[in-house]
Amino acid sequence: MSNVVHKKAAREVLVMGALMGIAVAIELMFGSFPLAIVRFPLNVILMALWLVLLVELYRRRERSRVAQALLSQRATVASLVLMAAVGIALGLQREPATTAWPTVVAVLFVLSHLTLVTLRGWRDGRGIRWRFVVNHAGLWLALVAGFWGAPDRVQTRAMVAREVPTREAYDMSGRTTMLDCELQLIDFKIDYYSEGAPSMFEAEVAVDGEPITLRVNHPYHRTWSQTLYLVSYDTQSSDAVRYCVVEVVREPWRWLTVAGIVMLIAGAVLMFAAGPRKEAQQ
Amino acid sequence: MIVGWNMFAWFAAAAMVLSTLAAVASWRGSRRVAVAGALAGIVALAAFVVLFWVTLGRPPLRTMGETRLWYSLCLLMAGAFTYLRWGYRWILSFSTMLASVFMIINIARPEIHDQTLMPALQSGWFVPHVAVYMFSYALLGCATLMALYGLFRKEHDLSQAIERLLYGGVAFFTIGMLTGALWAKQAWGAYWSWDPKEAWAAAAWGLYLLAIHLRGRGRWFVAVVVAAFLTLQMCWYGVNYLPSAENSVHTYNQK
Repeated sequence: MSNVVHKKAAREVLVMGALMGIAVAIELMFGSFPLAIVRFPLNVILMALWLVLLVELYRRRERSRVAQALLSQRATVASLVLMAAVGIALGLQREPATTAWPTVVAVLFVLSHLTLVTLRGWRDGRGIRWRFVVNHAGLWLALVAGFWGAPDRVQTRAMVAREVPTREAYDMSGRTTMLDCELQLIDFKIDYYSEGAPSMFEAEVAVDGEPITLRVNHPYHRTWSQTLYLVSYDTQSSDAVRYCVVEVVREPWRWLTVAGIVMLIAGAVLMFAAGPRKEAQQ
Repeated sequence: MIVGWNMFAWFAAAAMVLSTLAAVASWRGSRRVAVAGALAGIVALAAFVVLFWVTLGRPPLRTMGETRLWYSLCLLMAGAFTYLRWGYRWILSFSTMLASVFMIINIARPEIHDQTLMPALQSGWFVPHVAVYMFSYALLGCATLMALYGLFRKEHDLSQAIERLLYGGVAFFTIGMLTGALWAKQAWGAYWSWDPKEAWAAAAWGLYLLAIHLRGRGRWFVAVVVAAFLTLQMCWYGVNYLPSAENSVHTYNQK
């Protein structure tokens, strides 16, 4: 019996190793995952196909070896080891390679395993295990939004001056892009500590002529998916601040992330309140 | 009342003496004295935290020294909670010893505790985020100590107690991480940006979830608990020494 288990485990380690090897080879040959190509609607189509495949796998779990392997305790261990390995690898890099193929493959494996175990937990014969579902589905939502929603996230920065309104902004790779609104600096206030460090700074900015106030930790939600942040200002000028830097973030998947985070917090409270499951203690 | 950092040694000494009394009483089986001593020790240190907070005019949670202060307090609280809940006689000795180490470090290496708080840290998330983290570190520290103790004293089966502490610690760790994500979105526009500190937090979280899924069983359990705690130390302060953290948005706690 234990030989069978060892053979299975060895085969699965081999498959995982081969997958990661292929991912490394693709990375070396073609560079990182082309995030820009899989923007909406392609990402949603790919996600739907991936979900259909997983649901079909789950239905065939009695016969399919792949489904059994993905639903096994070993897959849970592999997922969590991969999560830790990805964290350590990214934590050692100055520019974290979040779109490197090995990272993408690892996250996709973790998400696939999580999808199947969440389905199993939800449809468990003993009824719905709320804590299990809240924790696993919460993590699933947050990871799905972070992974499949990443191509749709647009982060740009605009230098907003007093003289003329601007639509010009730059994305994180330095490419120029045009905003869907005009920004102009109206006023800028700074308070200082007695030591000279700034204690507070705030900008009054006109967005398409409408005045709004921006402060660190106090962004402006322009639409359900777009938010404006004050990130920096003209520190060189000795008189009045001539410009400030406004970050415009469009993140259509953010509400899925929020739902996932809220569920995970509820799951953590349940975890603390109830402690380990009784059968686990015996 | 103005309580500066120069008065910390007095409060710390009171906390250490009272907690040591509690630890001795728990070994001798005097539960009432142990509980009273442990609570008095917590009150002594908590009084300093409150008065220091009032004196600074901001929450003392910014510098490494200030997080060590909270860690010592949370360790004493975690030890007292474990003793009250499950009655392990030795837990107060461990929590007192570990908390004392951090208090002594703070006495020996006093740091500048100025009143400035940069705008990014002026948020309602600041106190819950750091305080919850410190409490989780304390619970997970106790779990690690118990796992190591269990390695050498095999006659005691501590797996249930370790698992309970892990559940509590991971629950608080999760809440700390998620409040941090919500705060990061409010301050910088991204829930998670794989900043080195965030990356190490994800690694530690993954290892702790692995420990929980092993359910106190197997020869790897203790190794995973210890590895997770070491990864947590990297997340807390180790990351500050890595070249990758040079441009980290979390570098304000290096002071």
